[in-house]
Amino acid sequence: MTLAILRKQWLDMQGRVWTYPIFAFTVSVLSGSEARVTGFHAFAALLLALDLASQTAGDDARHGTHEFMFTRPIDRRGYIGAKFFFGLPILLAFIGVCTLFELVNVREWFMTLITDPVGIDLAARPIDLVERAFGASVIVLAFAMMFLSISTTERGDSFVAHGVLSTIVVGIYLGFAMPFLRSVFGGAPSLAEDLRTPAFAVASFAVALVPAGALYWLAREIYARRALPVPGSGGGRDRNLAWVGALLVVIVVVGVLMYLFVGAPAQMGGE
Amino acid sequence: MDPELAIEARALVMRYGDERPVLDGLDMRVPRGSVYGLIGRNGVGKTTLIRVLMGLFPPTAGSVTVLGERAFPASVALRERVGYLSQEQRMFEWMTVAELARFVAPLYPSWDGRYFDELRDGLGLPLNWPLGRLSRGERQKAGLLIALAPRPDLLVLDEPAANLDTVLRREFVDSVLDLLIRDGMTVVLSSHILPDVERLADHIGILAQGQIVLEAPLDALKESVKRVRFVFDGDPPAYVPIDQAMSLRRGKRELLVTVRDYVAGVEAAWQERMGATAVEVHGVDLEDLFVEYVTMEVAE
Repeated sequence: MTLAILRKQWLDMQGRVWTYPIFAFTVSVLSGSEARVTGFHAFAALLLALDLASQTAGDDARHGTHEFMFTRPIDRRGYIGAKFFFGLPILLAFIGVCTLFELVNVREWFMTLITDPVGIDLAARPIDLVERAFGASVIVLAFAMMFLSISTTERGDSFVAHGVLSTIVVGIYLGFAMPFLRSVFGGAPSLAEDLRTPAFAVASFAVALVPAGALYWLAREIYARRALPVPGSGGGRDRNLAWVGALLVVIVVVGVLMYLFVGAPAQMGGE
Repeated sequence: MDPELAIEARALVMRYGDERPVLDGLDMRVPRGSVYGLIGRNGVGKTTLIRVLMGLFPPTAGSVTVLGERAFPASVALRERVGYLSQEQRMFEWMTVAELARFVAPLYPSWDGRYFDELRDGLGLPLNWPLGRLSRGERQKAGLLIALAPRPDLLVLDEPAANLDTVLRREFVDSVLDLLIRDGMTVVLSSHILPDVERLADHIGILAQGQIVLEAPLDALKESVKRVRFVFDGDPPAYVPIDQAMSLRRGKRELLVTVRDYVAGVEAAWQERMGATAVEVHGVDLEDLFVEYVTMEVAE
């Protein structure tokens, strides 16, 4: 039984698992070159944990096997929880890949590759510009993941669960948690340096855990209790999720705008 | 709930969002030990009803009791007693039949491994082929196997043969028939393929306009609905004085009347009243019955 769920989980995730190394590479390039798991890595792992949580709930719906599973004598919450648990090794592998990229200094290599041919002196660039580019890249990445998830989903069932949840965490984290933490702890000259401070990393992880936990609970409850997307059922189920999605999109947009134009720059250098 | 009933639905309403209700005040009573054929036109809501019975959807209003328990939310104990196979049921295609059984068996305390082997032999299913490599008919058989191996008290089949070609469908129905004869469990079979239902079911429920418009034992139904042929010397009369008439078909010097609540011998009185020279009484099959009731319901 245990092995069967583990194997099932692995196969359920095959369709999207290739996105993780790309994500790990991007995270490594953007976050820095020190060979340790930074706060950003913790955050990135958290993002994937959310992805995992939401997708594990949605996998059966996407593959059309939900009806088979949910008519078996199982506790739905327990089943989804078990799938989540069995997906954790993939998260650990992701962190391992991030660390490996750091060990081989992939950022240095990538930045040189990009900047040398056009003669850009990265060190001379104003810090807030790098910060903004950094934040914007993560946000773009999150949106890219969202659309990726839609394109790989038969009916867009996991649109809310996967894409929007991932994006909302980025929005909350960058828009609210980061400025808040920087105001509490007193920010270092750069966000990237902040993220490499162990106390800050732990604190940021803890703060991000709250919305992440809430969203995981939401995803689980929605799928376990009422939203069972059934192909050909007339689409009524999807509408149950639509209002949640709309709300989350609004929060994300507010969060992103706050980060880009209000929160982060104000905390960084008193702009 | 009546202990003689395996399923009872009262005033059941089911709607998706703000749309008009698919099920609208439906009452349903499935006797224990019966094979209940749920029939209706395509898109009438058979699958929605089945999914409500299976606890996959919460009813918008009304009550549904299955084996003495509330259908939604279905308890684990209830699910242990119910086998289910749907038309589009997808299982894990990478699993072999043996792996699927290993995956599912621990979920059921009543799983009968010996019975599983016996059924599998009977159905002629390969044990070590991935489900994805089996034919549609074989996959449906695998689903049936998984549904039956725990020896459920209730088996729910939602259009189980709808996607199969004629030969496979016949083979599948024969398999089900063999099993039903042996096991005597309660079965709910939803289908729009009426010859299949007629071969399997002993009770019929007709779903139309969001309600069960007719529910009765099939034999009693066939006894009570007859097609009566009157023969005349000239043209048939314009007025037909038969209160139980469901439909009329006029021909040259003959009149075909489908009647309900038929009592043996009553045709002689009708013959005399209409001045017919001869009268014959014929039985109707389920397909005719269904068409008569559904068209009557729409007309009303």
